[in-house]
Amino acid sequence: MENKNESKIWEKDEALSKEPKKVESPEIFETNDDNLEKAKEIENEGKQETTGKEVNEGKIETKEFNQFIEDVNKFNESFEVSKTEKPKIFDRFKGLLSKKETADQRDYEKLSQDISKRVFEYGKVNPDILNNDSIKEFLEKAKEIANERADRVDKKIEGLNKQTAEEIEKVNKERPGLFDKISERFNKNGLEIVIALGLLAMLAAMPREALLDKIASGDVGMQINTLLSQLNLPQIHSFLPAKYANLALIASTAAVLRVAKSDFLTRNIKKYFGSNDLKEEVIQEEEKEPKETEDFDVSSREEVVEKKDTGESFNQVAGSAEHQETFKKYQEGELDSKGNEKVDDNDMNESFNQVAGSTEYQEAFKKYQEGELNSKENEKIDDNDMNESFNQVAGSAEYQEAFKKYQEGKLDNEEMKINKEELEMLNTLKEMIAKGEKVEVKYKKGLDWEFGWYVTDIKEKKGKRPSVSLKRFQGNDAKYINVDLSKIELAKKKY
Amino acid sequence: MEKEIINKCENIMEEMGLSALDDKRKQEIMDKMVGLVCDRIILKLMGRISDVEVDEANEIMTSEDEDRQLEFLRIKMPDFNEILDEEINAVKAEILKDL
Repeated sequence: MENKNESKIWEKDEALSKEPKKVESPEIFETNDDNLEKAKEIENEGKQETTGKEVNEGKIETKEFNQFIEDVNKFNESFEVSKTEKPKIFDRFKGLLSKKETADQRDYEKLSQDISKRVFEYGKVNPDILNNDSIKEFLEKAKEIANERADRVDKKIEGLNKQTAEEIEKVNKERPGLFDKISERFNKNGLEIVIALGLLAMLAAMPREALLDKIASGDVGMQINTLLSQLNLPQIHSFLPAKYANLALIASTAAVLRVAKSDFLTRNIKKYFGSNDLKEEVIQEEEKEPKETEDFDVSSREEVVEKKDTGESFNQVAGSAEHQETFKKYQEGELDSKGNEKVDDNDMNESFNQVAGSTEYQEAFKKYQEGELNSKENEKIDDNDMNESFNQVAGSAEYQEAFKKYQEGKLDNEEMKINKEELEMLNTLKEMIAKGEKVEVKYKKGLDWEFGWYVTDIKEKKGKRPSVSLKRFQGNDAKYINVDLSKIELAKKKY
Repeated sequence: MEKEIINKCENIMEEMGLSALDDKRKQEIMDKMVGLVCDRIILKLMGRISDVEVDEANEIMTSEDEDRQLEFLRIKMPDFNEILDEEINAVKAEILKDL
């Protein structure tokens, strides 16, 4: 058995030594049935909206695809052997496939994750791959591997809990009851949620689209609840001013809320702060969630949300006057002054690092920079403003610098200049709109350009960079975003 | 430095080998980690309460005065953020050790 399989693997050494070109993806893809479904949904959506150049952009070279299938086949073959012959076989397989220097089960586990990511990346542009028998087999195995690892993580946590319990017992003997009292305070005052937020920062770093996918699927988890909880706990802001009472985080969370607008979120807020009975109620309600979330359509809701005023949206989603009050304070620039008189550079670094790898944060901060969140004139916030891709905001060092200026109150005074090329494009756009022409542009999303966007409006404010409202059709619905001028180019350049 | 940390954060899920889990299982693990970190932070806080302060701490924590409670916590743990980071990293490191 061993020899046979090992020789099979070695026979293909040469082919595998050509390490396949990996598809880069900022997302964390998860291998489960839900994601298979999601991938299929993506397929359908992709078919609806993919036109013209996008088809070419999304196409995967046959050679690369074949190599990928071959890798998966190798993985599947070796998996069976690995059950009885580890870690030796891992060594060889891993060496062949990923060319890594050390080899043990952890590498093999990591390899399964690497391939999982590639599966879902490929699945987005070539959904047929998910029907491939090798891939199906692989996904099952990857899930099995992850679950085995999760069991070990569980045991580790159990062990650590045991140690902690011993320490708690010790302090309880010395100071009876005090630990429990403080623990209760932590829960009541939401500090546990803040701790969850710290974990969130590490565990849930994901693009906004992925976060919205989670919301849409109803499988939000603690991640989003943690963010939402911030809105309803003003005391946290005073207790943890620099890092967690971050105004942009509040604003960005609000953005997510207003786009998502799901009762599910409201119930989950209660879950963390309600009674035990309420928790049970929430759990029961969650079981009914699939039907509700099946109908959830982010793009169509965005249109609806656009017509609502901010206060209404807030009340609908958070069910909280405090929430609205908190956000208003943010808009008026009052919140940050509480308990946070001086924010040093370290705090700022931490803010950036801690807020969930924070694409949401970045987006909200960008809105702040553009003067849209902080504007008192902007009482009715256009939700489309919040639809700008999280991924487009690159260069975190620049953001930190800008954030520093924001903290120092300098940002609003800084003139937002546009360059010559942007000015030319702006004039061209204006001319085309004035002539009633349909203005197609490409929109820079992350490192890629997305075609199929049409300019609906140009927003110019004194002392601010111009922004452009864009519309894109998705099946029977339309998606709207508002982006900075630098994020677009005419699909067919005229300047 | 900042980029390094962000990258590190983004990699932790993979580092833990849990990205292929379904969300429910992932959340279960996260809940456990939250509880663990929380307990460890409280233990640290307890270590900062001197013997002469125990009665006062008990009285404050039993009272309904939330402002006073928060003030007490703030005074005792002005470096809460740092402690939080430390404990999260420590828990993560201990979980990953020889996993």
